[in-house]
Amino acid sequence: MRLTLLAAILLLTACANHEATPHRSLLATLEQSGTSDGPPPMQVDPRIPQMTKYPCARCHEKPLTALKQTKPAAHWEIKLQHAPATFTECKTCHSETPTESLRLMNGKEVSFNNSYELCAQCHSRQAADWRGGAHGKRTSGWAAERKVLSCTGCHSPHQPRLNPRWPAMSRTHSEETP
Amino acid sequence: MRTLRAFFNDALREATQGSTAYHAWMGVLTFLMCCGAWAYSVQLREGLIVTGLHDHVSWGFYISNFTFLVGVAAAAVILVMPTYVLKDHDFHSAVLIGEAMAVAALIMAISFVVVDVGGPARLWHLLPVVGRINFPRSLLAWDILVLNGYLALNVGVPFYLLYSHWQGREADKRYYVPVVLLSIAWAVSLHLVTAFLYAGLPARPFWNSSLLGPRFLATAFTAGPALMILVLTLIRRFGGYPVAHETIQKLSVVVTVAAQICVVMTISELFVEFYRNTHHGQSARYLFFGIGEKRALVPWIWSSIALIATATGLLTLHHLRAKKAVLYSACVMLFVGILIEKGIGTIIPGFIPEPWGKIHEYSPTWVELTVALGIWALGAFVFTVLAKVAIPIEMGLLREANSALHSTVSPTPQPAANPAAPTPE
Amino acid sequence: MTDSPFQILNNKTMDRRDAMTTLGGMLAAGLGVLQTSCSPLASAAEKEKAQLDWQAYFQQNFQLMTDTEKDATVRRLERSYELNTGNRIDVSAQGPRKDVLYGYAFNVSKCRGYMDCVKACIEENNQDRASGMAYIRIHENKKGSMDFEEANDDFFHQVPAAGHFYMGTQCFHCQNPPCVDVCPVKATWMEPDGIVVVDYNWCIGCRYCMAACPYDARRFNWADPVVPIEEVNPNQHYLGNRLRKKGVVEKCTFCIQRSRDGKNPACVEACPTGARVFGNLLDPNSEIRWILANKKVFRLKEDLGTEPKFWYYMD
Repeated sequence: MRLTLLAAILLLTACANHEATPHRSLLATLEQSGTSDGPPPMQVDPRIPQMTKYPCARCHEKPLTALKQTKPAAHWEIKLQHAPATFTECKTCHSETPTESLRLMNGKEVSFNNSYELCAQCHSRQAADWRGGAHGKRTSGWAAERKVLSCTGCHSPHQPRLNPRWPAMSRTHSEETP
Repeated sequence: MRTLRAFFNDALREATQGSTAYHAWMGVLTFLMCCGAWAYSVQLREGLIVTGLHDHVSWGFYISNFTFLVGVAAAAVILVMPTYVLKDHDFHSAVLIGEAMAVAALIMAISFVVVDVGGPARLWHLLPVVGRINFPRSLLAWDILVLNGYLALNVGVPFYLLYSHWQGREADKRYYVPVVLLSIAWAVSLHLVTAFLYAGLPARPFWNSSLLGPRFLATAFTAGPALMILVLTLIRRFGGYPVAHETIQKLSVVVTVAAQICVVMTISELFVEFYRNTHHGQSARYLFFGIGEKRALVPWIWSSIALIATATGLLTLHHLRAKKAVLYSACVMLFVGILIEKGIGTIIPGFIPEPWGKIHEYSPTWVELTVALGIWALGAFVFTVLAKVAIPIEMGLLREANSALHSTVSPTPQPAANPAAPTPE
Repeated sequence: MTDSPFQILNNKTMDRRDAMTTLGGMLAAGLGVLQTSCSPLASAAEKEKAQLDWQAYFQQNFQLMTDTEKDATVRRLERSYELNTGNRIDVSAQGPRKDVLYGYAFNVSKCRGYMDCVKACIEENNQDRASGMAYIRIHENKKGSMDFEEANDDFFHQVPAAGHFYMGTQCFHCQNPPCVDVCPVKATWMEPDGIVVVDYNWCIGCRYCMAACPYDARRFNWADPVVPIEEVNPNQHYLGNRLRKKGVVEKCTFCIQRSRDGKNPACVEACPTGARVFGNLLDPNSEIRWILANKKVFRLKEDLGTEPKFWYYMD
């Protein structure tokens, strides 16, 4: 009897967690490390170096009405599929008198590198997530200063919706190409 | 020291001599062991890829056999307890046979664990001091300790008893009774610990039940004594060892009660699994009815249920149980039924469906079957040797006084000098 | 094809002594050790190789090694690889950084099932190509349900498929990991920076951890893993993506070889949609902490008390 009791007590020791981390302590540990004083600092990938038709003034020397008469037509390939057509047109984002920058709704000019300020006018929720780190593509590691792609790094401003594609592989037909 | 050597010499001579039938039996077992060893060498070379196991069902036939055999080993107490605790001496003659069976079952259980691991060469990591055993946190560490401890106890007590009897004196109760009592507690905890090994995993809802431990005990106390009845009968018939009729009768009562408890427990588990259609019951649903096209275990579990239910029904009726033919066939049915239930119906469905609900089936390959066969042959071999030595000592035929070696120091055994060796049949 | 030990023992032309010597030699060859180290004909390189294997066999559990021993161990791995292939690898034993606890967040709204993460993970972590091992599983769920049983984890069509959303699972690096508790030899543990790792040299391959993991995070090397030599990632960590042998368990390590270097895990870097976020949970200004504080997050099977350091959230 005493032996059985001893065995039972011994077995109970298996239930005691001898590790230093007590159960259900994760969130408490995080709280102890302090609270944030705003969104994490970040560095946005500049847009201008990637633009092929920049600066605008290379072509836009004359007023737009005059340019429209010349051939060949420029920017003809752009098909605007961004919000209902009744709502958006070129000048929703671009100024009619190009000044190497974008134009906010209040008339303020914004550099192409800061296009996210323009997007944030409508997409304020996405912008908040992006600033916080819940949306967007990071290009640096976790330890270095945070580098992120700007909105236009992933979304074409004229057709922001992403198209379906084939996956890189599948679990069993690995590396098979469509 | 010299006496001890003489004892082992006597034992060795006894084990290596016998009728043609004995040699043939041992020859067959040796052949099967060799087949198993060869299949294992294939597995060692190629890796566990030659088994039917995969990342989703990562334990299979080996661990199933291990679980079942731990139960058989634990059931040896059912003979020891009445003899030493209840002073019921009807069991006395069967105790040593029971312990020999426990030893054989333990050796098989340990072998099944060894063949299951991916790095048997690294098993020294389990040793104290040089290794790093995770005790008391890991239930597998517990299981390794209780298995080896139980093996030591079951080797120690019979050795002391046989050695004393061989010397022609009574064994001293003050020495062995406390150890026997310890081994009784040990046996119960052995199978409970093995059940906790599985029951302690919330990741596998099928095992994560407090009834698993008691169910393991109930099935062990059914299959163990059922096997014992069959073995004792065979030994009485072919080994010339007198086993009291009462022993078998009492064992049959044990088997009956344990089988009834098994059935009750199975029903209560099934109720919980099937009353509400929860995810918790998916494994049971797969086991009993299959899910979609995947139904590999269904025929097995239903044959097991049929065997156990029929046998329990037969044994429950007193007049049927009294009939030898019915008793023996019921014991065979129970043993096979529980072997299937523990082997195929407990371990494998714990892994199906896998944690994200997908069904990946498993069936053992020829390598697993051959290795398992080899290990079973090893168990039978060990048991035969132990019984072959124990029986003549217990019958008073093998004694130090008759020993050929005691007077002459020559280590070469002289077959003719052992008139006491019984010739089976 | 070598003879089985039994054939050798049964070979009547060989005397017993010879047979035993051969058998002993074969046993040693099974460990890949003694046969070459004792043979007078073996080249110096082969002798060195055998010696390294011998030392590897008797090496201590990594957690108990001193820094010097750790260094010697990784140098041995590099040398051994060089002797075997002629190529160089760089194996690190870099320890955890102070005040760092890694955490991961997964944006269910953004994942589109591209599987770029899975591919990058396999390449980064030198996973067995022959068995198609992958630490990450992407589940294609029908909208309206998050029942993984109904999800498809083996899709191959244009993604995202209409009416579906995607969720990735991998090792969640539980703060209260059941796999670590059950290991009988302490071959797996949680590092101070929260990464659950395996010492592949200490693992005995019992696979109890695989049974204990509620998330299907662990993988076993059922055969010798195959990684084409030109695809081997040479930047390795002892506890991470170094080459494994058959018979041991492995798992996601948050790319320990990258994360301890300040980089993001390969899956995070490869994900084109930014659905994967990695960072230091103890830094209140990290992105992961911003997500925990500002998004509605959830974890899988929280009822099991495993405390995964892997959260899901939506836009």
